[in-house]
Amino acid sequence: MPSVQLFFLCSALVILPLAWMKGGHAERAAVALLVAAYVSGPFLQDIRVGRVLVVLALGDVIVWAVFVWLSLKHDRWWLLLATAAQSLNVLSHVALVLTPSLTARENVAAQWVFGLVSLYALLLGIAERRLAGERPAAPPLDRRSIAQS
Amino acid sequence: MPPRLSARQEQCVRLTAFRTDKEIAALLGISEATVKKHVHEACQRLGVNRRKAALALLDQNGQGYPNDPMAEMARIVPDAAIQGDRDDGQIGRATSALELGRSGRGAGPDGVDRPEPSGARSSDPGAERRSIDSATDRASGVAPGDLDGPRTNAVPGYRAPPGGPIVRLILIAVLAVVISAMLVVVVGMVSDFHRVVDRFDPKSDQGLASGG
Repeated sequence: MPSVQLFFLCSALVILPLAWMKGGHAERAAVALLVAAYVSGPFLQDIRVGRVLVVLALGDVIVWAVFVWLSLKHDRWWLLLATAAQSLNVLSHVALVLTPSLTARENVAAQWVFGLVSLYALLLGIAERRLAGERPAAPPLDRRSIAQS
Repeated sequence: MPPRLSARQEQCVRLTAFRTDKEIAALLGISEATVKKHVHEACQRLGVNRRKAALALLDQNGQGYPNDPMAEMARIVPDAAIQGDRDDGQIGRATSALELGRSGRGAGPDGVDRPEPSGARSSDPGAERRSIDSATDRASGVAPGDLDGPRTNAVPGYRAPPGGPIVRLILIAVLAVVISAMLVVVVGMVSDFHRVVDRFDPKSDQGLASGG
């Protein structure tokens, strides 16, 4: 596995559960959205028109739209950053059509980078939730009840 | 400066402001004797004999934790406007949150759900905690479950993004430009590096290209 993909995988395995446990509702919604996108991604890569993976691009557009909606609904800076990265992700699909000199390899590399930016924006969201003085969406862990069960 | 209390001790002392020891025990899932022990040790550490005095010291020193209902109420309700039920059943005015600092029943500030007597109450500690949280949310004007309401605990200096949708969309566009500019710089640096490597050793650059 290439080092960038390995780094992405490790980051996702750390950041997503952390954001789910320590984040507020906005962070949880983003985690659910990103997990859905990651899980469905491999199944959407088969259909392509020319060089463009149409269904995958459509999925990215949906993710982008949800991020836009989240960033308008919630008062979070990190959502703006993640939405910006996702916008560039969508633009990379458009660039593949408009720029014949752009190779598929370069396009995929750019998408990995934008995905990483979105993921680390989510990590910043946990810190921002603390700065905003809000409680995590998850209830506090009751160690005693765990020990009893 | 008084010694720092453990989180549990502080929690117990603060909850004595409007809960009995028995209720706190049910809430935290510990025995009543343990609650008394925590409160006693907290009083000892703070060098006071009474719970009220311990509460007063905690408030003076600003010790608090994020889910602290008393700290939340003290911030939300102005000092002179806190209403408390008196033991005789009449509504009385307290001058500050500290005056609610007693462990008897009916000591809760106005707006906070008072639990039923312990016999009629659910034994689920999680439900109790949720009840306190939702009551605190209602008091602060935040809908239950909505964590994006007024920021009473926000760190000083933190500012939420501006509210207008147009402004936010512009900010997103600006951030997209910044990210792409940074990416262009990084890609330029990497390609420069490859060019330099290629100048000295063309084979290694081919290796990088095929292995990357």
